[in-house]
Amino acid sequence: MLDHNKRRFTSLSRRLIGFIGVIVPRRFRARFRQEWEAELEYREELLARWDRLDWRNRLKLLWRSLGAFWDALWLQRQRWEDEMIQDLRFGVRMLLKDKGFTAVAVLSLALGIGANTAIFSLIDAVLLKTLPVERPDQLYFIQNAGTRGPDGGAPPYPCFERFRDRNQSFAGMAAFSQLDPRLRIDGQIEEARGQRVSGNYFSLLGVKAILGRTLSPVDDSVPGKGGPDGLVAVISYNYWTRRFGRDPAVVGKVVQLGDDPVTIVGVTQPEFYGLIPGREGDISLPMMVVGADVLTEKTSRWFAAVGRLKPGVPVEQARADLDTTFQSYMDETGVNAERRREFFARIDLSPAGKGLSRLRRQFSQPLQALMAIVAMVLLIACANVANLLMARATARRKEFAVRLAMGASRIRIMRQLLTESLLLVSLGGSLGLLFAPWGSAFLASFFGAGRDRLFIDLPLDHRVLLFTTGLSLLTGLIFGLAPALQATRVDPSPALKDGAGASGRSRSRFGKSLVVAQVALSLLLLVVAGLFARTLHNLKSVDAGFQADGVLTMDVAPPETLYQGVRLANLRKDIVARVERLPGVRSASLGALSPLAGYNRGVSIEVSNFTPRSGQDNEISMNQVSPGYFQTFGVSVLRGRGLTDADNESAPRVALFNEAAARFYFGDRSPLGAIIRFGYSPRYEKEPPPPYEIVGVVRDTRYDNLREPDTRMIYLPLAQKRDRLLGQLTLAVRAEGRPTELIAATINEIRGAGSDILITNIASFNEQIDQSLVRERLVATLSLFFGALALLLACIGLYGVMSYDVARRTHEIGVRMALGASSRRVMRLVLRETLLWVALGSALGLGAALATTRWVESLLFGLKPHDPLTIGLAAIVLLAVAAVAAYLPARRASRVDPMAALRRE
Amino acid sequence: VDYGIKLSYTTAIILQAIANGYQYGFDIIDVTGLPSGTVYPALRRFEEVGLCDSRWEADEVAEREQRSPRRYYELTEDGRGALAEALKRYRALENFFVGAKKPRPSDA
Repeated sequence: MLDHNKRRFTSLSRRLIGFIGVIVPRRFRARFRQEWEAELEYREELLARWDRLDWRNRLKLLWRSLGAFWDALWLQRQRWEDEMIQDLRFGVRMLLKDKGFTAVAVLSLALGIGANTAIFSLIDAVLLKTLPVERPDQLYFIQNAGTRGPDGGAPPYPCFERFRDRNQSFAGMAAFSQLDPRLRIDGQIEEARGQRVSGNYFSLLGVKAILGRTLSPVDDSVPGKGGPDGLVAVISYNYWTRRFGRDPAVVGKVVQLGDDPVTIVGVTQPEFYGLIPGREGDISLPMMVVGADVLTEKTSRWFAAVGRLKPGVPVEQARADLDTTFQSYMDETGVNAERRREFFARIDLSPAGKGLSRLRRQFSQPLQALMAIVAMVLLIACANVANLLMARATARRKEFAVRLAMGASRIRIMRQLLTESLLLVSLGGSLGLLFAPWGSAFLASFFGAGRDRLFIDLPLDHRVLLFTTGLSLLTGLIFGLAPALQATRVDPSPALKDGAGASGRSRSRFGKSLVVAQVALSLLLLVVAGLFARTLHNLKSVDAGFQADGVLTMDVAPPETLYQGVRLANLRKDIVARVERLPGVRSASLGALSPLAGYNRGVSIEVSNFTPRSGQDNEISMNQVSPGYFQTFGVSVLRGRGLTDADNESAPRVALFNEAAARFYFGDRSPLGAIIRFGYSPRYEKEPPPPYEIVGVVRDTRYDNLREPDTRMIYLPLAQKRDRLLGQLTLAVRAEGRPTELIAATINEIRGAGSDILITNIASFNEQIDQSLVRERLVATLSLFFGALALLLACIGLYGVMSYDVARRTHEIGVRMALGASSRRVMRLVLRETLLWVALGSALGLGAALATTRWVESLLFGLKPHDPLTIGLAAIVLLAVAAVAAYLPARRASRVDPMAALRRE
Repeated sequence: VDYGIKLSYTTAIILQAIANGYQYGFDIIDVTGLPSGTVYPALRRFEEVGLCDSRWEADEVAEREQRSPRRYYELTEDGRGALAEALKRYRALENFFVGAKKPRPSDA
């Protein structure tokens, strides 16, 4: 009866419950099925007893049993919750069980992830991040362009005014230009980084004041004066913090700019430093501060302009709109055809959302190279961790086999292993983030020093955190997946019988191929590091024409209000004389420029008996120096004479050429006695300047940077200078000993010579050279560091794999030794195999190096990307270090006790 | 008092059904008219937050009736508290299910 009933009542509904039960977590499944089945059974029985078990009621029951699906779904949550916690707890226990393994893995990952985070934050700051302004996508720089390319400069100011007033395409336009004003704050003279901006600059960009207000067009309405009530200025949040200690009373504070009082009216929002990344604008003054004469110059390029496109206006249409105005303006000015072709051919619009950046041009390629390098370091670290995990997974085969045999699914075990990987990687990632601030500080220190210091803000913001998190997850998957797949491909029965064994060989082969890849990547990185390091070395040892050691430099700026004309000339002489009298000083000089300071002054000259082929032939770089300049920098006079004190204001005008200029204008003939005439502007000079006579030729020196071949230079005596304004000069001092020891005494002498003299950028000349090599130093230092790191990680990998291999083959080695192999022979066996793998990796790495290093060719100096010496050196270093890593397991193999090894089986 | 659960009308009505002796899942479904896909997850949740306990019928009873043991639910102290709280809100519920024919769990 019972059996009969049972069979009858195994209805569709109950079969449905059985089916749904499959998705219920195992732990709840039996109870789930029993509860539902018992209810259905009871109900069916009841209905049968009442003779109501008709199709309608059966359908109702079926409908009701469908609800079990929701019940089962609800129970899923439980599955994830406790299995996850279970996985995590078990994972933590496994990590703690093998602390050495965990430490090596976490540290590898931390270094890899930390390096990536630091480089990414730099890339983000320099290349990716848009400026914190409103709708940056609508902003465009308005530049004039010609055969010499757009250089960021805007068209002449009167033309800009026409654009501003007549165009149909832009919602607004603003002008800005750099200006490092010397301010007197609380009685003390100091220099600030700053800019002049048109009155609508802040409102156009949508930059707000967090204190006071920003500038308004009224503040920028009177040429030379600013606003009707005098000059006002806005300062940056950083400057407010740094210089004024966030004193709210800064609003309304009056500082002096020359003779003019300037009222600070506001502080801009944090994170806004201006439109030129790498340059921190401390203070913004109105554009009008430059004065009417500059503002009305018809063909000068001296500022930059930014415009906000009206929504919906295509860029090309806006460009054409401006270009029409531009062409008719240029026609009116009658600028000569060559100059127009070179600089003023057309208007160009370039997106301004990321700012106007030479920084980006300069660092885009090196940063991409570095990012590739750190990505490879991370890959190497991943390979290590994958190898370690693989070894462990092999050791845990029995555990997995037991779990599989007891009914665990493969997915479940893979999840367990991936959980462990993610645990590792989150530990590594967190540690990496802890390293990141140091990394950032280190990186920032490359940029933040010296005369032309770059300001780079490297915050650990959400973008960087997001990057690191994403990278960590990806990393965890990369190195976690392979071991997880491999480990779960286990046939329970043989694995249960024999703990390890069976697939040890295939795992070993996988490990070895990872090691080969690591070795290949390391060699590639070592080659690249070698190329960069040798580039830096080549640049530093290039014959730059001067003797850099033992020179101290500093910028000296007497206040213009106190020193002019004869008084200024006397002050300069006095400073040089006083400093030269100091003990330990060989010579001292003043110059408008100093080599490698990052500044250049181009002028146009006419050379007697020389016919220029184009206007460019007349262009030459000019420096104006006191007589001791050449002696101080160790630049030798090759022909004629140097400059002397007798070349003063009233003496006949004289000048020197460098070799490049002499060669260019005179070939093999002597330039001595040649007459030079400077171009001049009738606006500023009533009559043509007197001609200069070339009285000597000096050696070429590198000026712009160490890479550029020597440019044509002309040197004038400071006393016979061409430039009207030379407020700031560089004092150079050649010391007998260490130049930095003279700093205090030198400053003392300058202060003694005159009051209120601003002294800035105090550094030895070598430091200044280092500063000019910031890009090369950055790349060389980092790539060497990462190359070494990669090598270290690869060797850890090599060591790990070979140790494992030796352990696995203990029996085989025992047999060999029992059959008479000497320990030396065993050692050779292991070493040979290891080095074979290393050689294979090296060959691959070499191929990769040959194929890829040409990408960095433009960053190199003095060597080719396939430089055999560098490649050879890198290979030797790699082999030497790999040999050490291989020796340890080999030695262990040679010390295997054959009896013990054989007994073990 | 926080019972770890939102005292919705559905919650209240199921608690009330249990309190009034409808202790098997299907009976609760019958008497409340709620769908099974609502009642069962609610019961699981009650059990999770401690508003009710569940037990299995004694084997002897089930065997005597030649069927599997059924699972039934009982309110805990918290469950009764939650019900009292809910009844303040849904006064009309108070007289629900009282005196209806109740199939009691058949203890041994």
